[in-house]
Amino acid sequence: MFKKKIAGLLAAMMCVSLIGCGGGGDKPADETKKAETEETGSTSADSDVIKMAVGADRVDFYRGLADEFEKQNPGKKVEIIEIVNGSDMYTKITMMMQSKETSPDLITEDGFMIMSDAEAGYLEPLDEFMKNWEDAGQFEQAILDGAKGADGVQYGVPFSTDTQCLWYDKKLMEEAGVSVPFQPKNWDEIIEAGKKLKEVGGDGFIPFFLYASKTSPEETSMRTFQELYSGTGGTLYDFDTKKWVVDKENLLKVYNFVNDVYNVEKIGAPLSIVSQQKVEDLFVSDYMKNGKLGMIFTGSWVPGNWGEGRTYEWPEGLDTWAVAKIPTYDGSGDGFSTMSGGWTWAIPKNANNKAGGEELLKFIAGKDCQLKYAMFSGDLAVRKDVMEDETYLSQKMSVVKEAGEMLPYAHFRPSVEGYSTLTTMFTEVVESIAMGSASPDDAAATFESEMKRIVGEENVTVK
Amino acid sequence: MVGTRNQQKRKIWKTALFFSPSILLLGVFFIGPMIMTVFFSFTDISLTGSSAQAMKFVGFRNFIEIFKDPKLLTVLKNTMVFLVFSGIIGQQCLGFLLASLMRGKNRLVRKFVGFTVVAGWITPEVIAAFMFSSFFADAGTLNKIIGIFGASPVSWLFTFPMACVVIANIWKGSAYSMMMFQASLDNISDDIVEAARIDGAGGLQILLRITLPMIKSTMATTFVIVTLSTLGAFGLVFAMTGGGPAIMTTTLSIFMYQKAFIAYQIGYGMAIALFILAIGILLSLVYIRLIRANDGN
Repeated sequence: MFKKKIAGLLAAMMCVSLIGCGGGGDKPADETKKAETEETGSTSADSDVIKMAVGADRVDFYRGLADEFEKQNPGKKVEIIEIVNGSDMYTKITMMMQSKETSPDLITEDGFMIMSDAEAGYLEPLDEFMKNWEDAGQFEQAILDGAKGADGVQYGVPFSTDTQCLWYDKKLMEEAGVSVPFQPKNWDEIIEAGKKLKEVGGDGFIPFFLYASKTSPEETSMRTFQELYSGTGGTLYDFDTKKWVVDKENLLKVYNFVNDVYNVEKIGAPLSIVSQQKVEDLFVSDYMKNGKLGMIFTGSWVPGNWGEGRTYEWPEGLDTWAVAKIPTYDGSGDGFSTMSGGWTWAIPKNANNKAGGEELLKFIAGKDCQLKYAMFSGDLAVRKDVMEDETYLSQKMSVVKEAGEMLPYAHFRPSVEGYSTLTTMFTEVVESIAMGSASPDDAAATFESEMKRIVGEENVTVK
Repeated sequence: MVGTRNQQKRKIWKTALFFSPSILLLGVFFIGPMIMTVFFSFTDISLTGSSAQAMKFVGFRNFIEIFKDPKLLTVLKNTMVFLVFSGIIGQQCLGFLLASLMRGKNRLVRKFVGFTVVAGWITPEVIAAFMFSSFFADAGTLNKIIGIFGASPVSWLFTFPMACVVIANIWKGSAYSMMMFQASLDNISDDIVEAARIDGAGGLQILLRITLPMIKSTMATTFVIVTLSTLGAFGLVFAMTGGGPAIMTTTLSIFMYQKAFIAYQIGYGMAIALFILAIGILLSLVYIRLIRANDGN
């Protein structure tokens, strides 16, 4: 009997100590929180702390701007949340916005995610904000429209845009016997130049790089598939009938081009490079500097990587590299085509400090910060006053003038509902061709069946 | 009589009391999420878009999708190849071989070999993945080694991606099987082996008739655990190849991740998770049956 009593007592003690553990665990947590707030110097309420989520490679830059903001607004604190770069960024931000516990007060949102995230109820409408913001008139209507939801409500404030271009190494082109400045008039001329480059390049040299891997998903979808497809005259989404379009004839033009580059003429990159994570870092840090790459379809922002104080500083970069407009399939239509993207600032619906978020937004989307950002990133400016600014126009490490000339040929991603799932499919189909596991015809058939499967047969028109 | 009943009652209470913390923890951290997984797998919940806000029940659509997916066959094949070669043949056989070779060796050898093998097990997954990525890289260690013998470099991770992740997983996981087998082999008394030897049994006979039958229950446990952990293996493969090139190393768990977090179809991803669970349960039942059937003989 005695033993059992002791056993019971012990068990009871265990439970109590467990509960005790729970309680004890909570207390220090609270205390740490307090300590943290005190440490950051804010003695009053939480409303003085503004949480801003930005990409990992922009953290130092934004810290600088945040320090300025703090100086101008004594008592306010900006806490920067670092988000990993690449496609995981979108996943992480959407997950953070789902809960009040984790939601930032201000985020950088890729333009193509706005419709989808607005539909999900993650974003705060900014119509009211724009009405009361004296700077609202500094944005072109077309640029503002790109940051609206399907309901026509403004959800983002744009801060950068870009165009896709054909970058080429001037020296290697001349060596290969292609006249510089190079401006191809159709896709065949790109292939021809690639073949000539292949002859002069040595071991490990990549004549022409086209993104074609799931490891660079949005890059492959936008810079390869949609860039080329926009140059065939085909459309992906019909905004009138609200249906997705399968246009096999034009799809085949794209798929044959990818197949020519990778499998027929073999002027593409080895698969080990294509599938490498963060392949753009490899190019701007090494391949483009050391004559190991001939041509590439990528954004106008490239020289930003080589700017003063950046990781891959290379002040002479533009002596070697130049841009050309990307031609349409056979030079018909407008003659050229480019895919344009852009980044915006947005305030999550679950933000705890929306007022603070708006205050910081006014500062960071203002002229000074946007100018600094354009200079830092190499992206194109979206504010009229920045576009006209002398410092912006005369910057050495950028192709803003050339890229600006491409804007009239710009196409945008159909970022309606379903896009964020379909874009993965666009990438997978291009990848299967580059890897040699599907012929262009197989690929077009897969495109059709996958599109029907993903958005439903009733939402697809087949041409 | 009354006393016994009281005692019984008290015993039940006591049992419940002692069990309650673990049941509570399991409920909150395991059974709860599991029920939610089942629930969400019948919806079209997504990470973004309108169905993130207002999900709908879609019945068995997600499960039908799995079987309609053109990639399913390749993914299943990849999963099985990865499971059989890295989990069952690799980790289990190598683990057993190491354990039996170390039997009766002196302490220093046992310690040295044991530590070397366990080092793989305690290395965090991502670090192991980076190690093997650089080992198999175009300008990596392996190509340098074969270069000494005059062979030209091979893009291992792209020419033989599955072999690379299989080797990495064997290196990483063999220690567990080895330790389990070591413990159970140590339980086999030397007298029995000695007796068998006197009766004229050879090495193979001792292995098949004495050793293996005696460690059968350990084998069943390790088989089940290794199978389940290999089916769920994600980090190592993902960090090494990301499931590529194309879908050459996409196993079910990577497939699940891609659908849930890259294509944002959470509901579909959950359905795949349940599908993986079903395969795991099925395989575990098969092992247990096999072991029992042997018992009958």
